Amino acid sequence: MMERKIILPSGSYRPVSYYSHGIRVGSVLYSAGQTSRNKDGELVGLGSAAQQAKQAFHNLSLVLKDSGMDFKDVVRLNIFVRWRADIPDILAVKDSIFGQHSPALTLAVVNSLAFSEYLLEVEAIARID
Amino acid sequence: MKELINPENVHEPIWPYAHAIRVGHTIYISAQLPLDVNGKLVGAGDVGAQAEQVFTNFQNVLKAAGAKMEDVVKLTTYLLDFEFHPTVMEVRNRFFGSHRAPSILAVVSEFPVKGALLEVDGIAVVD
Repeated sequence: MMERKIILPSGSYRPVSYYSHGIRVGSVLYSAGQTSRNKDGELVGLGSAAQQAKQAFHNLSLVLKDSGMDFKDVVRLNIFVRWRADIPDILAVKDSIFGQHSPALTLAVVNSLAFSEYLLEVEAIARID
Repeated sequence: MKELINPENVHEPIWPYAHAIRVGHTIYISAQLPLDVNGKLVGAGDVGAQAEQVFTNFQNVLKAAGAKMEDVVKLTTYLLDFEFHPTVMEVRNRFFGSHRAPSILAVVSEFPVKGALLEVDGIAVVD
């Protein structure tokens, strides 16, 4: 039986509805969409995709850490963005964090995310040996 | 070993795809549509009825793959309109009970099936 761990990092906000920030099963982590909320659940970077991206990737780092993983273990990254024009700013944040490591990436521009203020959400699958 | 999952109690896939594929302990589930077993759209304009059908199809696909809702490790919900969110969450929560699957929601402009108001896809892992 594979070990199954629900990931709810203490440094991250409480999920806003019925979901977990992640589940690690065996060697694989599946994360929920990470948003630009700080640990108190307040939205960070209203109107700024770069600031929101920094917070969302920070939250993803907490999920990874709680799973015993790191950005280098990410194998797949989905970034849902609200505005096409924000993509360069968001990717700049992503590149500054991931450096040379390039996980499989999907970018999609959507009409809305779970809250109208969200400019992006980022979700990941990570795997450790 | 890969196993394609196309249960008899879910409509035929509308194009050449499988409803799910199981590889070892992992099941990848295609986006489920508000179509009945005959492939007919249910609940025209009624997102509650459509969500009921979508999660029923999702559950039937999971069952056929040997999994339960509690085994879902990743869920993506696509909605046509943000206003559908509360209704869809209510149905979703009923199907999942106390299991809190990692999730993401996206509002999109169109679905491949005309009249569809939502789609849901996911990944499940069984022991």
